[in-house]
Amino acid sequence: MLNTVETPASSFREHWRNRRRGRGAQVIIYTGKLLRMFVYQTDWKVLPMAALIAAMVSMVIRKDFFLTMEGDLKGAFALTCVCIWNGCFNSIQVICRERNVLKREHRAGLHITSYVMSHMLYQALLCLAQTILTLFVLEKMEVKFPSEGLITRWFMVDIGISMFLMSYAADMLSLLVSAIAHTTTTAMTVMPFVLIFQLVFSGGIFNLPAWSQTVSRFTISNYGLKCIAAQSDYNHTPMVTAWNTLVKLWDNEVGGTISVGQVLDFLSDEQNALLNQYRDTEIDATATVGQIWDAAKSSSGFQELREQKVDATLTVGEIMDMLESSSVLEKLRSQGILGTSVGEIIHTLSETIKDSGLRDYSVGRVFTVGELLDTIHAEELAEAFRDVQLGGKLTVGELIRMITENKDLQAMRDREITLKTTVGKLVETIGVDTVKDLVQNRTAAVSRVAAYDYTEDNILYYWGVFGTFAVVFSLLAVLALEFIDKDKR
Amino acid sequence: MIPIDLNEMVVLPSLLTLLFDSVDWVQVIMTILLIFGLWGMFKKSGIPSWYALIPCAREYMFARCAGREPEGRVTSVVTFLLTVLDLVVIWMDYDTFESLVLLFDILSLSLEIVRFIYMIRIYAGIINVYGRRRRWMVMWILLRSVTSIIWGWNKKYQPSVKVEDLSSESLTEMNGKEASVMREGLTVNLKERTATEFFQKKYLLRDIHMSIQPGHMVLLLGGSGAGKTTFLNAVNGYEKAKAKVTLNGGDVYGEYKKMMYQVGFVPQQELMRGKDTVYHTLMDSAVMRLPAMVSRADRKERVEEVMKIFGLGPVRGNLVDKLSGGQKKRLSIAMEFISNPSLFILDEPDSGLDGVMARELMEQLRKIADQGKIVIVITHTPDRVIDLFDDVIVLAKDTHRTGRLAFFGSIKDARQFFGKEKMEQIVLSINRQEEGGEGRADEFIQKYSEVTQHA
Repeated sequence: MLNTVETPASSFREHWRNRRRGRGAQVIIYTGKLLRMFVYQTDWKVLPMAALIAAMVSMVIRKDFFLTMEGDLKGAFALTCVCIWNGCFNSIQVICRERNVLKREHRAGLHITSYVMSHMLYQALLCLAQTILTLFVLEKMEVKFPSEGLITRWFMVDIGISMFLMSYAADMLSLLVSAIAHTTTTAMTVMPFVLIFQLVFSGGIFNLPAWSQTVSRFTISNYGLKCIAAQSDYNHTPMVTAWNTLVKLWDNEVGGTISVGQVLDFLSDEQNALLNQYRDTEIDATATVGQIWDAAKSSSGFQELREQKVDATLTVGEIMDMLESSSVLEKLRSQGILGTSVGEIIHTLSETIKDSGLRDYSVGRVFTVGELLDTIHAEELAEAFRDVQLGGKLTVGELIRMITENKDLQAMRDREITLKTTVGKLVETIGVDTVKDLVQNRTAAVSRVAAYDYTEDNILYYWGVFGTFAVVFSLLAVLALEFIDKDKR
Repeated sequence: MIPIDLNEMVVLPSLLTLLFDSVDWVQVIMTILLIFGLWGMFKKSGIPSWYALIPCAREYMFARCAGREPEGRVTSVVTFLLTVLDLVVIWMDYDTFESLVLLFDILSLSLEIVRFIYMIRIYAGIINVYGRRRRWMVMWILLRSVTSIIWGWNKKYQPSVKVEDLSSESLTEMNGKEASVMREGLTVNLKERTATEFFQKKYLLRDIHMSIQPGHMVLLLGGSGAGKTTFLNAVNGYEKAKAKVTLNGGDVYGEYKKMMYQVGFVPQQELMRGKDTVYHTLMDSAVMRLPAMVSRADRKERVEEVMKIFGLGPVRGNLVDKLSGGQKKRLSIAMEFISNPSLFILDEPDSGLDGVMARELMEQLRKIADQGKIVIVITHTPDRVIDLFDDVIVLAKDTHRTGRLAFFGSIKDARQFFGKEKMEQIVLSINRQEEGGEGRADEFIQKYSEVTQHA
């Protein structure tokens, strides 16, 4: 054996003289190389591609993003998809396409950590450029972004950071795939699975079974969707699906039979939020009979009301009971006729009818309201009492109480009322704005998700998760590439 | 599904009941028949018959009988995974894990497809080894149990080749005589270079010892699969072997970080980034390979000098992709030459070049050797440039397909040793008969071993 032992001093001098560039310098060399190749290679195409994707997505989301809950969720999912798509396609081929070149350079002294770090820097620049482009396009396509941010002063910066970090985490995941795959074909075969996995397990759009909730915790899309949804203030925007469905049913007929008792119970229910809103509202009911009649006649619904049908059919039994018990006919019943009284004749007739089974036989016909009004000479009556003063000031609550405490109405509790109308008319009766407000806010209230709360803690947590993902994926990429010398030739 | 309560002492009976209930008895009978058939087939191929009893192992061994070992590895692993998945699904309560059970079922289906494809490859191999008609493929796919019994126990069905036991000791004698370490030049004392594939140790190279003088240009000869590239990778320290390699007194393995810059390895393919310019490719190479102390001006000067040597000046601004085959080769060599290495290894630098260009390139390498460097070259067309070489290394596969040293010495001695005038004839003499050669590798390995023992 040769004596190659050297003194420490000379060994140090020799080592210093012969030392090669360290990891830091190699990072700079390789970042420069990547930037140079960005121009010559086709990598630059990812920038216009990002702008095109943003334009297409904005067409779908611009109407209601930041305005409604559904729009926020849709927008959050769309932006998450955009970021993951951009990130993944930036780096899916970058390592595997030059694996053999890398192996040669590794043999010649290239540190894997430097190589991956240079890719991290380069990909960060690429993701940043894509994020800026995407936001620019979305703004141009008139997506209504809020102006004030939560973490920074500008909302665009806040959401830009979220999008950048999300893209970057996806980019690093793709870099890992590229580091593990030996060929571009393998990488591109794996890619769809990665994308589908990310999108399916994002958890916001698709209902996942319980066991898969754990899996979704390891997807970038899960946190991406939450982050963007939180930043769009999902929990404080109205939910419009229920209202929109109601509008679509506007002309659909609805109907049903309810009893007077049910109506009275509804009115007397102290927990009824809708009625409680109006209980203290005052109604100025001071008017003359003439004013009321004129107002009714001039209203658009009067003619419609006249055409409403009133079921005036009666059974023979009901007529006979009325003849026997009506106080109005009492004088008539006491009149003598043919040695007996009218009352006796009516009673005998009633008994005969009862025996013959004719009591349930219907007589009479269906009238319209107009016919009834004409029959009772309503117009002449109104003219006759034109100057008579009616009513006074009272609240809705008092009116309801008057109705619910009315003994005559209470006696008619079992009487059934058949309603037939359209959804629209029903809503108009209650008040369109009232129902809209109620439906949107109630549905929104039950759809709130704590993870979508627009708080600093939430946003910073999501940013932290993206950063952690990026670091873990890049470290795994380093680990995978450290075994590059074990590749089969 | 039968629910199993792990908290009770009924686990084992429940499990047995569960397994018993889920057994497909037709499949059991078919498996027994298959084992019986494979028992006979393994015996014919020289594999211990009891492997037929072990699930997964029998798939692998069957593939080896068919000469399809890589497919056997995949099939074996896939079979193992399918068995595990089957057991997991049997254990799972369908109502509780409905989605997971469905997922596993889909996974099983995918694996079954993989196994089916790989089994077709293996069947094609076994039909080839037994020299039978292709129509047997249908029988193997539909009724492999019955087919295996026919092939395993009918004397008319015999394999044309037996399975080689690669792990056994070589028949040819080991030299074991180490070359003495030189102060100047390259000394290789390689005991063995092994690789483990699928729990099996394989000898890629064994017993190679030599010393090469500085200024020598050495030709590395050998048939395909003889281990030429493996040998070069072992010499430059990138893929370490059980060996001692010293270059100008420095231990290549022990001081790899320092010594790696004294070895330039030019791979067979032009492994460069096609979208970078020639100048930047060389400049980056210089920055990476030259010591950090070298000034910017000196580095630039060195790049210019190397471009001049290899005739790359006129294309300095061109993208690598735009260069001709010869220019790419020269650039690839220049990238390694830039650090002025003492040992220069080139794996088929003349592949894809015409005779004139190949000659020019080799002459350039001769000039490099003349500067006192060692140049080792693999080439498949040695005779047109043989006058430029000083020495020749001949590697050959022995009976166990291990790369062994069949000769190392001057060109003149090589001609005398092999009794052949041309280098290509030497390669033919050591190549296996099924490769069109004379199959005399063991003879020359043995002869060289004896010669060096007595030297």
